[in-house]
Formats: sequence, C-alpha cells, structure tokens
Amino acid sequence: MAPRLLVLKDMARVMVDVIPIEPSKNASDLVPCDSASQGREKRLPKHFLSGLLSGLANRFVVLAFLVALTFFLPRLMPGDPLDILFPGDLARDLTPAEIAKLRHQMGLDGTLLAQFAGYCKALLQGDLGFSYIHAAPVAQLLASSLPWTGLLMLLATPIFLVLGIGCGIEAGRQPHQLLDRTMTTIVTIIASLPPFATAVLLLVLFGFGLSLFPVSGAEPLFPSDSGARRLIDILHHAFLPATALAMHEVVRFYFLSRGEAIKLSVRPFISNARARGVGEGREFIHYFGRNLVPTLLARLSDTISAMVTSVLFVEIVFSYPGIGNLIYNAVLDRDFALLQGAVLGLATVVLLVNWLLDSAVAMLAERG
Amino acid sequence: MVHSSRFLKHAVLMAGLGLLSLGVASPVLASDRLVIAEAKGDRGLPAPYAHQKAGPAYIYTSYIFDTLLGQDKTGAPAPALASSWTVSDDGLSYDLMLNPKAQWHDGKPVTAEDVAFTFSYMKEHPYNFVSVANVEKIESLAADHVRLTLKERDAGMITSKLISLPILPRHIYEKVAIPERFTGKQATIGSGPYKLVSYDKAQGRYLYERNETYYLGQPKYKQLAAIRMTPSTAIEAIANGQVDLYNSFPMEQLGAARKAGLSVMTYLSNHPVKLLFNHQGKFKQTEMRQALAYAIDRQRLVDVAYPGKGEVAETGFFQRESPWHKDQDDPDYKYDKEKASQLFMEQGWIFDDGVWSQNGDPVVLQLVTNKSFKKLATVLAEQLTDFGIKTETRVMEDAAMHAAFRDGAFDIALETASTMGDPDSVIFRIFSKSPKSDKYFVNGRMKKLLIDQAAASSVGERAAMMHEFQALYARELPAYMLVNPLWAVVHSANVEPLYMKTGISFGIPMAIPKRILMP
Repeated sequence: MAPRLLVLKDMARVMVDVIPIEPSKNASDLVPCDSASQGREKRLPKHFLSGLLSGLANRFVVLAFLVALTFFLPRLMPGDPLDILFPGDLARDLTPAEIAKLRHQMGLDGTLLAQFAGYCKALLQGDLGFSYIHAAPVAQLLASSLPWTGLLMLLATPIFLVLGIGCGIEAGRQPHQLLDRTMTTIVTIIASLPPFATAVLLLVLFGFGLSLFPVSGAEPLFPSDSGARRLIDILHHAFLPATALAMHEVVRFYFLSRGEAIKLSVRPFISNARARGVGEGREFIHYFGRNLVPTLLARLSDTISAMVTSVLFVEIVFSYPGIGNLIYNAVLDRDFALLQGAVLGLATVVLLVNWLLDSAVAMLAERG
Repeated sequence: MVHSSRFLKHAVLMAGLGLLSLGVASPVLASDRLVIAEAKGDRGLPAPYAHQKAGPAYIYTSYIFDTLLGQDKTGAPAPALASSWTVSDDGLSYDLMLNPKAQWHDGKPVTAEDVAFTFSYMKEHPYNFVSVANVEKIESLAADHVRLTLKERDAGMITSKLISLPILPRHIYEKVAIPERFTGKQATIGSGPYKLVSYDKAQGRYLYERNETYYLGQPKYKQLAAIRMTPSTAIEAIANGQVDLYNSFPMEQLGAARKAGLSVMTYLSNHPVKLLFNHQGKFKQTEMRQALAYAIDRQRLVDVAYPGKGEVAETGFFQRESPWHKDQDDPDYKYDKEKASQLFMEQGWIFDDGVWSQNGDPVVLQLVTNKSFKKLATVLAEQLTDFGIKTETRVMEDAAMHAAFRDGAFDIALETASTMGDPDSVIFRIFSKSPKSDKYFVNGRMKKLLIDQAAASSVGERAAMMHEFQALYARELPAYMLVNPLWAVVHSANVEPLYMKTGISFGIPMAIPKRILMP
C-alpha cells in the first residue's frame, strides 16, 4: 500500500476530505521520497505555478489597496498632527512661515491627492517616510520594534502548536472520556476570556502574585554583559507575554485538532492499527498528527493575522516594546507617516507568510 | 512535534539575532547609579531639535546639553557655560565670559565661536522652546568672550532665554542642513554633565554616563538611566533598589508607595486645570464668563474630584507660590448662585422652571475634555446642570479635542498648562492659537502689559506690571483656573528631588532638574 494520505480537493487550502492510509514505518517519509514522487514534484503542472503567481498578484493588489486605505483613513480622523507636535504651553509660538515650512517637510501641504501621489512616489523609491513626533525615519522605527513583536510571535507559535494540537489530538483520540471532558472544559473557559483578559490574568498571577516572571519590559533594567545571560533574560521576559499571546490560539488549535481527531478516530485504519497493537506514541504522531498537517497548516495561515491583532493588546498589558505601542501612539499622535509605515510593514509580513503557507498547502494538495 | 522543534530553533535563533541588534550593555554599579522612571519612557532622541516638544524630553536633553546660564537650587540664574556675565545699562548688550574648562563630549573646547554659531544657526533653524529673533548681533570677541546685542530690551533674556537655550557644537551642527532629521550619534554630543551611552526607543530607555571632565566638577552619579515603567511595578523596583526615582507618580497610588516605606514628595504643580471658554461663542462677553465662574463651586470640585490631591487655584494666572504672584484683592468667584443668576439675566438669559434659556431655547453647553479630567468634567457638568444649565460632556483624545478647539465646536473645555517660568512666556499661553493656550484674542491692556514687561528696566517695575496683569486676568477671565493639582515624586534615599518654584528653565514644573545630578 502506498505510504500516504491526504487529498485536498480544494486548492484554496480547505481540506474537504481526508482519506487516510496507514503510514509507512518510516516516520520521516511524509514527503514522498521514491523516485516516482520526486519526478511528480519536478513536473508541477502549469496551473499550479500560475495559481501561485496569481496568489502573489492578488496579494499585491491587496497591498496596493492597503496603501490607499492607510493613507486616506487616518486623515479622516479629526485633529492636526502639528497640534500634537506643538501642544504648547512650553514651546514658543510658531510663525506662519515656520508652520508652512513644517507642513511641507511633513508632506502635509497641497491637496490630498497631491500628498498621496508624493507618498506613493516615495514608497516606490523604498522611502517609508519620516516620523516628526519620533524624529526618526519610519523604517528605523519599524526596525527597532518589529524584532520584539516578531520574537513574541515566534515564541508563541510553538506554545500554541504543541499545547493546542497535542491536547486536541489526545482529547479527540478518546472522545467523551474523562480526559477529553476535562480538557475541553478548561479550554472552553480559556476561550471565553478575551486575549487582553488572559494577558492581565497571567500578569497578575505569575508576575505580581508568584513573582515567577518579570511584569514589564523585554529586558532587565541593566542588561547583562554576557550574551548567554542576556538571552536567558530576554526569554524570561518574553515568556508571559508570549504565553498570553498563545492562549487564544491554543483554543483554536485545540478545537480544530480535537474535531479532526474525533473524525479520524472512527476510521477503520485507526481501528485496524489499534487492533494490531500500534503503540500510542506512533498512533498519536503518525496516524493522527500527520493526517492533520494540511488542515493545521491552512489554519496557521489565518492565525498569523489573528496573532497580529492580539499582540497589540499583549504588548500594551506587559509594557513590551513592539509595534503595538508604536501603532497605538501613532493613532493618538496623528503620526500619519508612522501609522502608514507600521500598518504596511505588518501587512506585508502577514500577506507574505499567508502566501507562503497557502502555497505549502497547495503543494501538498497537488502532490496528493 | 517535528514542526514544534523547528519553531523553537527559529525562536532561539531570532532571539540571538535580536541580541546582536541591541548593542552591548554597560557595566552596572548599583551604588553609583541614578535610575529615573516614568510611565511614558520614550521622549525622543535627546538632541535639541530631535526630542519631543514636552517638558520631560527637554529635561532629559538638558543632562547632555548645557546652557550659557544654569539655575541654582532656588531656580535663580547661576554660572554654567558662562562663568560670569554683565548687562549694559540700556539692557541691549550682554557680555558673557565662558568657562575655559568647558569641553564638548568629544574633547573639543567650547568656545565663543560655538555660542555665536548657536545663535545664528537658531535664527536659520528656529528652536522650539526659545526664540532668538530679538538678537541683532552676536560677536565672538575672544575664545572665552561673547557679546550679544539685542534689538530691543528684553527683561527675560537671562531668566528665560539664556537659562533655556542649549549651546550647540559648531563643528558638528554646521554641517547639518535639517536638524530635525539629524538623529545620528553625533547629534547627542553636548557639553553637559552626562554623555549619552545608548537610547532605545522601543524600550523607552536612556543610558547616560558621567562626563568625567565636566567643567563644573564631577557629577554625582557615575551612571544615569531614564526608563519606562508602570507605577505599580516601580513601587517594588524602588523598594529593592533597582529604581531611585519615579517622576509624575499617580496620586491615586501614593498610598501603596507610602505603605511600602518609600519616600514621597508632593508639590503644588502650578500647572492648573483651567476652564477654557469659546471666546467666539456664548462666552465672548466678560460678564458671561464671570457669571459662569460664580455658578461653579470650585471648592466642591476639589473635594470631590481632587480630594487631598490639589487646592482651589488662584484666578489671576500666577499661582500663590509664583514669585510673580501678589496677594491682592482679585475676585475669587466664590460660589454665589444669586450673583451668577443676576449676571446671566443681565446678559439676556431667562430662568424658568429650573432651566436657563436664551432667545427662547434652553441653554445647552458643550463641555469637551480629555480622559485626564473626566472625573472633574463629570462633577462640573453636574454642578452646572443643577444650576439649570444643561451640560453635555464629550471626553475625547487630545487630537480630536484640538480639532474641536479649531472648529469652535465647544462652549467650554478643560485643559491644563504651566503657569511657571518667566513672564516672558505668559503671552503665548494666553493669546496664541495653540491647543493649551486660552485662545483669547483681545488686544487690550492685558496683552499690552505682557508685551511691555520685556522693556522693564528693573525687577520691581516688571513685578508691578505683572501684578496689574494678574488683576486683569482675574477680572477678564481668559480662562478660569479651577484646580491647582498636587504632583508627586516617589524616590529612594539615593536621590533628593528638587522642586524649584520658578520651574525648570522656561517653566517646567518637575522635580528632576539637572541640579540634582551635581555634587
């Protein structure tokens, strides 16, 4: 029997049906390794490649739409960036000539369309603009903030994948048993909490209460000279916010994995395997885990954008440096250049990851 | 599982890469270090043109950039880059002798050329806090002697401008065409007691080190840091010696700080919360503003919204601790419903069935405020509604509130602004369009006094003018000062905060002047 699995009927990443087949004894051969399958991979059909390209093109269209949206929407909010820049009981009065000069420097003079044209031109030249509130190029601001946000998301990902999928499969393997009922109850309670409430709960419990983790920031006040020590400190500081970020996704992946595992658990190949005395670990990984890969991959694609939303709250609760605080303050400060740059920067990352994940799912489907 | 381990590897790798981009930390000597914390943290790069346009940002920059004159413990002018100075009898010529020991952080001497350059550079690139438009000529007479010639006498030249204007290194800034965009390491080379070691915008963290060759003697702390921290976290951090001082500590949490055994310093901010009027609308007439003032029970506002956290403000702009304030018979608008009613009726308002109306329509006031004064606004609206004036409160973020000011889409508003510093800066706080200003565009005696005070030939003459201004302000009410809040600093024994009643430089009401860093 050919060692493999999964059929995705829909190229747009939704797994419609799963036809599981008993996995091979070699755990590493999820990717076809025989010459026939390798040949198949090399001969990816034209419609597949064009599908990938059209997916990329679609995302460029979305990005272009976002460029316009992030330019015009903030400008519909009431308020003048210059009033925020010079709120003024301490700074002196600016002359009309100084105000005009500043407006010009900030790209705020002329008609809205002319400003938009200037912005697009700069964007095409790779210039994200300059934040006068922060007195720094937007690209530099993003470069100092995005790594922290990225770190939180990267640390959160294994947490929710391991916890969500692990517990989900374990519960789904033996549906309605004590373990399933207990875990589902706990996860349902977690699901009822909005992400920021989970963050506050973790902060109060493990930060202030048990003092196991730092309650704010990304590093100690005075970072260690030792690289290893500093890395540990950074991970120590990131643990609570990353866990808070992961909790909501744990719920999503738990229910998804559990549902799929329940469906799989009544399939004959599982019964056969159990009858043959296949070990629990092998059943868990090879019979359930591998069959869920495309579904989980497809969900991961949605997860990226959901995490970007949650991370903004988490950063604020934990006073964590990152793009969340930057965007939040850019809105309050009417810092258009920064707001545009930050949203576009995030959107580019999300769309790119989304495209890569979709492509991976499509490739799995193409391989059959 | 295979996927998870890959993610873990990626996370560790990314963290490692993050480390590489974060720079190297400096050695830590807790006993010789001052750590200042506050809620916001990031105030911009501490360079004169790059920092944010607010008090704390200026203060953080002042640790690096010295001015020609400094301030002593009382706030009075004291030697800094200029070790001595003389003013000509006509008040137009200032001779300043520079301290020959003064050096830039890169080792080059501070000379008269640098001072002359700063003034000419700031004419071309206006500095946000100090105007040099009145300086006609600046001459570098010797390496340590500079002469300033003014177009017109300026009584606030020393007590406002020379104590506030940072001197720039010519050899660096002469190459800078757009200083607002000059944000490299060199932008932070000054001549002050501390050098900037690192600035982390994302974490809101500044690290300074002592300028060992500082011309006024060795600064008190080897290392200085300014960081972002929440007040609740700071209580523990101060208690365990990680942080030494928390600036602008919330009054609501002072109990917790005291309970933790921390030192607390409270002071009258002299940054009153004031009631702004729409001078183009219902409150164009002085009598209308006075009427509303009598209808407000300020003591009750304090009792309910600021219990133990402030006092009823003085009505004549200057608050009672100001050196320019005089105890005189200014109207204090003690709550008086009858007097308020009488004044409103004289202006054509009619009181019927518990409600005031004008031209047949019930009067409805639009009160706008930001979230800082939400409680005060609620109590105020209740008082006015009880008086028969329906008051609708809109709590807005700052930018939206500023837009409401510009559009005239309000009747009254709550705002706060400093009343400290030299009288030089008062005119801007009353007669400009800036959001925090009273936006009172009446060219009368009050404005004339604020212009003429600059030409006063003696402190006494100037004071007399300010006392007249104080009386006029209290009578005309460009804005109605409601509450003078207390502000707080929580600190350890490692530092003694200093509050100067003139404020820092041009009137910043904070207790962390450069002076606390000095031996």
